[in-house]
Amino acid sequence: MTVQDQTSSKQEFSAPLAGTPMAREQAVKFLGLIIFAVLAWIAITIFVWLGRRNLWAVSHITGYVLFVVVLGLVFLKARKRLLVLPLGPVRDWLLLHFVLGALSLPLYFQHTGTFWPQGRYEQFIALFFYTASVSAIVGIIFQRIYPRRLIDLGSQVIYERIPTELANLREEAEALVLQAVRETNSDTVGRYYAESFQWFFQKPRFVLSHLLGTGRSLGWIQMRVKVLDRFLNQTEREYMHKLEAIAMRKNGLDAHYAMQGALKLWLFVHVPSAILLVLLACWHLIVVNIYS
Amino acid sequence: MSDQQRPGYQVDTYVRPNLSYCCGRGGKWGKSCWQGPNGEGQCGGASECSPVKEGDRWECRRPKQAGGACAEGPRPDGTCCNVQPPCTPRRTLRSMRGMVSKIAALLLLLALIIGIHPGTKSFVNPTAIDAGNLSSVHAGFTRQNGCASCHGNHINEAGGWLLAAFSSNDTSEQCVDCHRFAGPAMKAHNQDHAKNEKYAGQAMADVSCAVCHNEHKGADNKLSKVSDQACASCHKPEFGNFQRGHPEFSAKFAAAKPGNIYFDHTSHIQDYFVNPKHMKMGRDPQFAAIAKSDCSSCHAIDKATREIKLKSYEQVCANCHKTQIKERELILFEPERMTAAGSVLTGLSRDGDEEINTKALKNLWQSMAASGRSALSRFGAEDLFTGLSDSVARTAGSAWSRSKDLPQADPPESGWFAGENSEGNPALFYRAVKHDDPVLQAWFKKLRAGLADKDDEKRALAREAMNDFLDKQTGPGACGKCHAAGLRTASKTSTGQEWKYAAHDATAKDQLKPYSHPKHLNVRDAGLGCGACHQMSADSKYGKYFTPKQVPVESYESNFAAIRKETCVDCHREGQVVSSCQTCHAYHTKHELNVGSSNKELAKK
Amino acid sequence: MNTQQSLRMERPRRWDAPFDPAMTDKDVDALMERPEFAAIDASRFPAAAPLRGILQNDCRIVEYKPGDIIVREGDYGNSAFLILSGAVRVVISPSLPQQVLGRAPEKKRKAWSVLRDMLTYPRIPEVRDTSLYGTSATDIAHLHRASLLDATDKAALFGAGVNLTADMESLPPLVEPYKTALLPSGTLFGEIAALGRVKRSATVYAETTCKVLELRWQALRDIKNRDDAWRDKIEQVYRANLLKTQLPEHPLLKGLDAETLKKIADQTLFETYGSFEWNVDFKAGNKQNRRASEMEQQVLREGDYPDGLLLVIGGFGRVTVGLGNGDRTLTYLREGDHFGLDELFDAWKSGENKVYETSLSVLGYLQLLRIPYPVLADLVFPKLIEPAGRLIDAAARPIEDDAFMEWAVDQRFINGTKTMLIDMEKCVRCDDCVVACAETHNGNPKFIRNGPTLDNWMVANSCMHCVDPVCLIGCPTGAIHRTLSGGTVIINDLTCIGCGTCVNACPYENIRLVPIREKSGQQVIDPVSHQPIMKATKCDLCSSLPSGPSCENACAHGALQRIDLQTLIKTARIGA
Repeated sequence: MTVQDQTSSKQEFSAPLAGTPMAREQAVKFLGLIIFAVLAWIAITIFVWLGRRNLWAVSHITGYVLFVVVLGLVFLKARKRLLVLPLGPVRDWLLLHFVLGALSLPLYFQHTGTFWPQGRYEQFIALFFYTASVSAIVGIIFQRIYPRRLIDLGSQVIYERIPTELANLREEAEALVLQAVRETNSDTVGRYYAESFQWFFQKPRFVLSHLLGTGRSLGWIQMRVKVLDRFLNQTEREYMHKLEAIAMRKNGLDAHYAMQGALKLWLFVHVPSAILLVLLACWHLIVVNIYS
Repeated sequence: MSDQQRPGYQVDTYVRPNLSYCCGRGGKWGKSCWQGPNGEGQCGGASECSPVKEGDRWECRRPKQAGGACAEGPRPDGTCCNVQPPCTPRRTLRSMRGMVSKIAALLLLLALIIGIHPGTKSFVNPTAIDAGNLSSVHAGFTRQNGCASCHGNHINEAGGWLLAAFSSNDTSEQCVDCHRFAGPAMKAHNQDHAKNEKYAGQAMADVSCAVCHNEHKGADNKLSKVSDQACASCHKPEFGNFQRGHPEFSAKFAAAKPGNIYFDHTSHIQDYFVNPKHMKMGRDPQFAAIAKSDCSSCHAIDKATREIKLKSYEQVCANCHKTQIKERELILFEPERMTAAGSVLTGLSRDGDEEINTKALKNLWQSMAASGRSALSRFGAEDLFTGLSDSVARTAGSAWSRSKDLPQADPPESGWFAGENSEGNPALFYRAVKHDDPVLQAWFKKLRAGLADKDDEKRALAREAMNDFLDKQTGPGACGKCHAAGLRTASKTSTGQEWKYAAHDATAKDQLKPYSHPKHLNVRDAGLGCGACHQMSADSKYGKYFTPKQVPVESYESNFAAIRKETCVDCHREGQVVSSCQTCHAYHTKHELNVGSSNKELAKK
Repeated sequence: MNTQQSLRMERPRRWDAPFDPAMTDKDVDALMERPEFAAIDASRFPAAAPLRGILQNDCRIVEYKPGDIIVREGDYGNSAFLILSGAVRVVISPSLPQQVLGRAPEKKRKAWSVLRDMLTYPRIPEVRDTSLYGTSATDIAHLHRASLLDATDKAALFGAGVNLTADMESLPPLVEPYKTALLPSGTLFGEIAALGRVKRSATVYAETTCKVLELRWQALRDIKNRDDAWRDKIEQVYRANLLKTQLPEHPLLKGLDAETLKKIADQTLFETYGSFEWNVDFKAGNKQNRRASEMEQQVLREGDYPDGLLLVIGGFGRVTVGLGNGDRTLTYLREGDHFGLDELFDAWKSGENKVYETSLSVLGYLQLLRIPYPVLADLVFPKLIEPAGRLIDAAARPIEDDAFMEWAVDQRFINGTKTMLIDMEKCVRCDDCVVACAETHNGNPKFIRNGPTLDNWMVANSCMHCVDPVCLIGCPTGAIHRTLSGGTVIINDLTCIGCGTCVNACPYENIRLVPIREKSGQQVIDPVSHQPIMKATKCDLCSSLPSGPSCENACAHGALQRIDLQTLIKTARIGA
């Protein structure tokens, strides 16, 4: 190798798997967008301030700005549909969605000047704006909290497969119980299963507890085992422990059902209210222009 | 849970969240079948395989994907052994969300279409376009025509209604049907500032009503309330609050305009009401005792509005000045000469050729002796000589035509007399009957008319006569003592107002709202009374303005110091009493409601 | 099963779509008379795949005109070539310019047509247009045949003032600096790329009109397996060519002049460890839950004496150091890396013997070039800049920091160039990625959003487009192949016979068999076996779309990436 050649053994060693290049890129973009939005909001506020002192049609122009912002928000959905067009990846559009959403809050109040408008249809606009905003905040909270908890459950399952998995676990539990009854010639375990765990294995249970992160379901399972313990012999006890293990797996499944469900269901509030908001905003635009 | 360790994992079917339906068994918490629903949402499979006959045996043909051939094999009649009732496929969450959104949107459109029809029972305005209740003052008379009372586009049919979005329609044109002002309605302060050089070069666009007055903000909305920032659109630089930013009041605020009556507060309060030497000659010491400290003794505070009117002459001034009126005489003629007033009346010159003058005078006396009063009244109006009896005229005339002395007699308290006046000289003179003596008023008018004479000499004469008349010390009836200023500045066509105490008139230039005294009395330093705001200014030269010479109004110095801003700021500042622009200033001039014309224009359409 | 009528279609077989349908018995006869094939003992071939069958169905005879480029350096290819007649030249160095090689751009679909399909795809899973099946899928005409005569700057190739006509019999030689060599009739070339699944190492073009027999690599594999002479010849050529082409390309030796390189090459040894079909053992080991490292062959151990520098030219190797009762992975090696430099350089400098500080084991298969120490001491080390940092220094790092690498190496995820890595902490389980994949593939998703997970890192079951795609090995028809330029692995649905070999071969279970349906929703059934017709499906990296992988584009939270794990694991990258 010649002296100029730089290809000597330059060794870089393993770096911790910190933020991936994509994550760092997104963080930079997000920061840029936030700065831009803050500057835009300052500009709009200055404009409103000036407008009141120069008798401009302030509410008309804040209205149009707000309308553009709302259209920008809605375009996220359109971008997902038009995925094949080279308009930038959806993750960039989501960052824009966050920032525009945050920007729309002060803009909305700057436009209306009140928390609850006078006109009836305008009150509906306000209502849908509030539901969309509140559901958005709830959704952000869900998206920050639940994925980590789902990881910490230990294994992953796809939401649509949960019924099948649940059915498998139920079959497994019932087969175990039947085996226990056959082997020990005593139907204690079987009868008690019908009283307690059968209900548990029917469908996802303790959903609210899993959403809030309390340990209600664990306590319930442990208590059910403890209750029966004094009536069992050693073999039966071993079967009960196996049943408990299956119940714990089912508990994890319930947690998945609850949290993944929440991650899907908040959109049932957000998307329809956003659509209604947009439709009413268009209507508002038309009516305002007809009457002034 | 699904991990790589689970057997058969590699032949797991794909999860298809893009499809709208999924197996209904999953909905009942059973195992979804591997076939899944078909595109229309019907169950994909009730049985797991369709068995095939190989030779004389039926064989299971379940694909590897679902687990391969089953252990039991098909039934002897060739049907699959694993038959389940078909499921009812259910919608996936994603698909349901789409349905909810679509249905919500359709319902909304339906609601808008229904809601746009006027006459929905619950609300006055059609729900779908309701922008808010009208203020209570407008809500009543617009009920009949509804929105169309102000919004012309409202009564178009659907196509035109929608197209109206592209044309501008100023509702303000309807406002001026009822709301009239002293000047053009859409111009700033209802005045055309463009004609004023002070504002040359500044854009003075029309300002329509809706720019500041916003309707549809509820029944309790005060339409007249406008934000301070709107004022700042022209009045710059803008200031944040009254206390800090408002300019200091004008140098002579509330002390700029002299009244018609010469009344020196300082000398009255500090001298005339106090000093005993003035308590003589019919002056009422009781009144003085009160008046020296109590403003309400002269000013009718209980009826106060913007101005606090004076009580009547009889209640106030007459207490001291009654006697003065009768003391001063209007001297018309003396045996050998005439006063300026007489000269104005008769046209005879005062100075001039002795010969001619004497002769003219003699003629006058003779006519007086002959005709009495009518000899004089033929020179001017009758009312100049009201109360002049023929006998007095004849007596004076006959005496002076023969250069004789007038008969001795005591002059009456009031009225015409020929005899010795207060100075001891023989004259034909008049003493005022009462305060608003009509004869003296008539004489004032006569002299004023003379001021407009075309002839320079006659005009100068009239001026001299007027000066004599209005002389502070010696003017007849003591009119000039108090009324001189008002009389001097009166216009020729005035109707007697020049005699009266003139209140400050809110002209178009003065854009202040009428100050409300009742609200402010005894609010600030109650012990000081009126002096809390109206402080006497000790070194002002009150009399400077009230000289015979015509001096400009600007040189007037009031007894009272101008009211400074700090007087008002004591209460009107941030956090305390309201101090918005509208508290004191008015934008519109002379707002009048032209009621009855409402809907006139609409009827034309 | 559906009670509706099912479509009956015969189950496809290996040679349903022959490489060249126009190959006749006469052609095969002529071939069989050639010495290369006459020497083969045809009886050693099974009845299901006789030699004649192989020649007729897995080979074709292609004619080239002077100037035509037969293979381009850098392309991925699935064929080897035997020169039947005519003169063929190989360009040794330097590489021809890209424009000359006339790389045909991969046809991307227009965005609007994709968009239309995204909105109108059938709501039934796995719909296929069965009318397309049965026609020949390999169409000679679509192969873009570039020619040196198409070069814009012919003077640079052939010299100024040379007369080039369309109908000339022989192409003039290339001028300096291009060095070429003549390949005589009977030469076999292109087998390295076909068998080793690596890029073509050199450009080969026709000097005169020539006839070439193109063998699909399945043919080469079968013949090589059944005939010793062919096997030896192939392996000998394989080694020699690898040495010639790979050695100068190695980053460590770049900068040495050609003569030195030749001297080194003459002394260098070529070694292979492991097997191309490593996936079989790997999957078996997985099922038994054996630790991956237990199944790896050791090349050398800590404490052994080094006798030469190892250059990695193919496959993967694991560098470990003993820790407690196990071995700690410091890094993994791949093509372009080297091993043992620290110890040998120390030995050279100090004059003392040094032992290996780390061990090396085989991940799947490993191809090494061993440069003996005397050669290094003589020709390489004098010019080498002293390396900064040592491989063993990586052992000082905390164990926690390398957890991801250990796991990725154990699972062999390092093989992938487009691994689907999902950060489950960012993933909100919205399934937009799967929906996007489905919408851009006629309603059928090509991956499952699930897979092995380490803490928040999940490697989902989506084709990783491996550096070493073992799925290619068993395919009877060549339906699963690598695209010419990018290395993306694609399954040609038209020629797939649904045998499931690739499905079983993939160590990561990223390929799936699906039963196909008609547009109406009927399943397509084989009339003979009454089983549904299956096709293998897997991620194709959206290679026909203008916008790139839809999954990555669609993930709203930036949780999903298609990356080479090498970019995340800054392992001890030795070399530039």
